[in-house]
Amino acid sequence: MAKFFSLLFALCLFSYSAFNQNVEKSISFFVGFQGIFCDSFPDKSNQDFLNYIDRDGLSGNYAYVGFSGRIDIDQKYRASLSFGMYSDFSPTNINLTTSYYPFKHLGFGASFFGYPQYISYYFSYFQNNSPGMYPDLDTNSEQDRIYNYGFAVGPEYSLRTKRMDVSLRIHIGFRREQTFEAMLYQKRINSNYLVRHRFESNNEFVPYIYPELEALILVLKTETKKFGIKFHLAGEYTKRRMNYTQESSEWIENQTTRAKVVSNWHQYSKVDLDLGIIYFW
Amino acid sequence: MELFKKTLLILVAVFLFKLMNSCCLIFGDCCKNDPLPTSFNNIKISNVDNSKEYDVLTTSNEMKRAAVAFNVNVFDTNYYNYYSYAKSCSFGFSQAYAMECENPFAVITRINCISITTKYDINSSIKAGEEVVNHFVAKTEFWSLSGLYSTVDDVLDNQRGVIYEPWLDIRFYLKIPVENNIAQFDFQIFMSDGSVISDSTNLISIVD
Repeated sequence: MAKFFSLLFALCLFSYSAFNQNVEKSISFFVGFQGIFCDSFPDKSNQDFLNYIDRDGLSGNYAYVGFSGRIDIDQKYRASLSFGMYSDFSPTNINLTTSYYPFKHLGFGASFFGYPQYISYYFSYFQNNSPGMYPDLDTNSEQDRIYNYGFAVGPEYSLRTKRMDVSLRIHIGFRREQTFEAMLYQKRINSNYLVRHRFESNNEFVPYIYPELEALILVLKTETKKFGIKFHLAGEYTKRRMNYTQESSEWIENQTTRAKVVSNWHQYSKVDLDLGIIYFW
Repeated sequence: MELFKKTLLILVAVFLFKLMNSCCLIFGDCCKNDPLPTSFNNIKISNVDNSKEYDVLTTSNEMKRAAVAFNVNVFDTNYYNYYSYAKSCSFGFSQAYAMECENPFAVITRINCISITTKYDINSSIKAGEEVVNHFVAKTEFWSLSGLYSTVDDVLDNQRGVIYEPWLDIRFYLKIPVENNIAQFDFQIFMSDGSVISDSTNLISIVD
């Protein structure tokens, strides 16, 4: 759905720009990496899934390449769309921003982001918290992807010179992740007793801050073409938690109990840093 | 020489006809076997070791107190005849394609209900001779993550009309621990044609 709206948005903008003379278009190719930081708490009486998201700091495990396009109309309206691809080469790291500058340097805008995130070995909690049981009958390793997305609005600052275009925005909005589901089978040692736990996250929108810095530096200029370097730094700062419903069925399907589990708040941040080449026309 | 050529030609024609008859056409339906009727008429009970993560058949007559389980194999003693009938119906070479056609069987005589009685006291409230089927749960699929158990009634309700082996394996798992040091059960299977198939488990030594 996010991709559909992004493409629709891009199509509208390019259509509009085709009929407008005072339009500057640019396209860029970039490489970058993502750093993810998240608090981890000791597991207490319940599983906390956010303890198991991949958070590699700035180790660069979430490296990506991508493309972005940007349109400036009358130096008042600006829109950009970027698709980043991780090792699977699927354009899943999406950023969409639109801006309006009523003043020369000051404006405001809106943004949308979406990116996937791995959650791995999330049942290792049960290895130490299932006395008398075989803690996980599934010997395959667990790794799933959850998709994060958010919408934000806020003020922007832009500085343009002949060789450089720097934009700074600080947006505030709401974010959440898609529903996460998992299933665990356990069996009592020396017994026929079998239990299945189903987990389904109850996601909620939480506020987040999205600061972004983008610098375009002109390097080469001919009569009709301009090439440059693009530097982009964006962050996401929030507090997240992953509450869930745990449905436990003992022996047979209809012997089921349900419990809603409230998890800890985790301080969470993400940094995207990328560098690329840009072509203006 | 002329006679040799004609003979060879006839043999080649017969060979090709048989070969074509054995091939699976690209867009053809290779497996058109009509289900063969089957009726369960016998039973074999085996011990199951369910004390570990996954259950396995065992020849041991020892079971853990809370892991008493049996595999009941209900089968049709005539199934060898069905297989030879199915084989004789095909003309040509044996199927040469990678896909193997399964012989479906239509179950004529279904299991109506199952009775399990204990020959020895299980605990102070369940005495020898009592009906204990409600203390068992069952499964018909046994791969490692085949899911939870079902009630015996649910297993019987879900019997399929067409099966691919002329037998049915049902595993029974006792939900309550056996307090006695020995256990043995009688299984009686009441079929839809009014017949009753029965057998007993081995005498089981209960260990901790």
